[in-house]
Amino acid sequence: MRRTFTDVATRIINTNDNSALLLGDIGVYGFNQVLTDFPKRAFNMGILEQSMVSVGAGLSSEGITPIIHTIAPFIVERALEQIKIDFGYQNLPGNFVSVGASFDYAKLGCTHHCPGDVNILSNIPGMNIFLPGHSGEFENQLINQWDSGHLNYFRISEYTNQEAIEIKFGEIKKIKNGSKGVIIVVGPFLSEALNGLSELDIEIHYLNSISAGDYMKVVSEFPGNKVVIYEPYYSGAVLLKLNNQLSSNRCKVMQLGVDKRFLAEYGSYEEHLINLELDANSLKRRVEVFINS
Amino acid sequence: MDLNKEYDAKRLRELRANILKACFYSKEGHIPSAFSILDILYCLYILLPKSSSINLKDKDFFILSKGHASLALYAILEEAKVIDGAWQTSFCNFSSRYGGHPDMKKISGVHASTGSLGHGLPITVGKVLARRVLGVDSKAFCLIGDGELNEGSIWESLLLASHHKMSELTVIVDNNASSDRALELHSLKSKFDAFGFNVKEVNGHSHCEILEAIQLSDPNKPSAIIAKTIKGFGIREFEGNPAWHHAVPTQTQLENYLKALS
Repeated sequence: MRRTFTDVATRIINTNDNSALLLGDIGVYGFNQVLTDFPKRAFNMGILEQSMVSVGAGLSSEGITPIIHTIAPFIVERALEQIKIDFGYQNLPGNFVSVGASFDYAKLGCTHHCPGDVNILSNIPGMNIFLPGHSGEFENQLINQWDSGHLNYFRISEYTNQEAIEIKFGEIKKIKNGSKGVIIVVGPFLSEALNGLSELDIEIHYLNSISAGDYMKVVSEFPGNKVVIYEPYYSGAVLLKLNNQLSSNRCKVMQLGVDKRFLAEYGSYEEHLINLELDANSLKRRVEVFINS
Repeated sequence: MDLNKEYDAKRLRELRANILKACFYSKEGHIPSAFSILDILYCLYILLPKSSSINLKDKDFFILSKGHASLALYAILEEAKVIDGAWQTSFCNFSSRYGGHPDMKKISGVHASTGSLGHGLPITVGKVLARRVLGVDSKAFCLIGDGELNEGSIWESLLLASHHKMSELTVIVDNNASSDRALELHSLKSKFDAFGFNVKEVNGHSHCEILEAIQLSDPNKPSAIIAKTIKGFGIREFEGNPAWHHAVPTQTQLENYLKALS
C-alpha cells in the first residue's frame, strides 16, 4: 500500500493545481521527483507533526487541499489537537494518510504502535475514516475522496487481504452467506476471517470505511441474533455506528479487536495476531464458541 | 511620520473603555492581554499611511495567535470598519459571533480560529505557502505572545518560515513578560536572529517605532518584531498585575476605570 500511496499521490500532485503534499520526513525517497517538480506544493516538512498539520490547515483555508503523511501515532496522537481544531473545528477539508496501522511496526515497539487511532479520530465531528484492506481499495478511495471537500483519514497497512473488494464509501458488503450469525470484518482483517471462518455457518460482511455521517446498516434481516465485530484496532468504532440497528434487533454482540494494553513484545505482525488471539485459528475458535453459546 | 498623537491617544482610550464595558457586561474577557496589544493592532489596521503597501482589509492578512486577546481584535476591527459595534454588547452571549476567542467561521476579518496557543503561527505559514501557489502577492502578520513562545509548535513554525524564506511573513511578539513566572526566555532577539529572522525590537506602545518596524522587511527572510509591551497598559491597576489576567471589574471599578480613561 505504501507504493500505491506514492503512485496515487504523485498522480494527484501532477494533475491537480489545488493539491499539496506534506511529508513528515517519511516516505520521502519515493517522492523525490514530485518534491523536485513541485517545490511550491510538495514538501518534506521535517519532523514537526504539530506544525505540519496546522500548516496543512493554512493551505486548506486558501483552497489548496493537502495530503499529509507520516507514521500513525505521530500524526494522530501527537498532533490530535491540531487535527481537531485547525481542520475539524474550522471545517476545512484535508487528507491524512498514516502508515504503521496498529502494530505493523511490531519490531519497533510501543512508540510506533497506534491501535487507538480509529476510535480517537471518530471523536472528531466530520472525520471520515478509510481502512483499506488492499492496495486496490486504497487507490480507489484516495483518488475518489482526496478532493471530496471532507476531512479524511486513510489508514494504510503493510498487511493486506489477498483480493480487493469493490465496495462504496460508507457501505457494508456481504461477502459470504451463513445462517447462525454475522461477523462484520474491517479492512485488512478480511483474509484472516475468510481463512478462519470458511467452514463455519456464519455470514461475513466487510467494510473498509467509516463515514462521519449517519449510522451504518448491515442488512435488514440478521441470520440469528449473534453479531461479531472484528476490528484491527481497539474495538468500538463500528459498534458505535451500528448500535441503533443492533439494539433494535436485540443482538448479542462480541467485539474482537486489539486488547487495550501496551503491546510491549516485539517480533512479527503475525506473532502479535496470535498473541492477541486475532489470527485465523483463534478467530475460528472464539467465533465458534460465541455462536454456539 | 505624520501622526495625530492627541487624536490617536483619545481614540485608544475610547477603545479601551469599550473593551472594559464589553467585559463588564459579559463577565468575561482577558482585559490586560487586550490592552497589551491594542497599540500594535491600531498601528496595523488604522495608522499605516495610505502610501504603505500593507492593507489588512484587502490583500494582506493578520492572525491573532494569542486568541484570548480577542477583545482588542474586535475593537480594532470595528475601528477599521470591518465589523460593526455588536461585539460590545453581545460579547460571549450564547448566540454571539464574538466569543472569548476569535472564530473565523463567524467573523469577517478573522482568518483563523485561535485560542489554543501555538496554532495561529503554523496556520499563517500554511496560508503563505498557499498564496505562493496561487500567485497572490500578499503580506502576512501573526501576533504571538511571549507565553505562547513556550509552545513547541511556535519554534517548529519559525524553523519552517526561515527554511522557506518567508519574506512575506512578519511575526510580532507581544513581549509583556507573561512567561516570566514560568520560563525565562532570555534574549528573544538572539533567538530570532539564530532562527534566521530579520529582527526589530520596539516599544510596543510607541506608534512611531511599531509603524517603522512593520514596514521594514527583508527580501530573503521572514521578519520578527519583538514588541516590549505592558500587560494591561492604560489602567495603572492592571499593569503587570497577574491577578487581572482573566478578571472582571466590579461596577465601582468599572466606573473608576472609565473615569481614568476619560
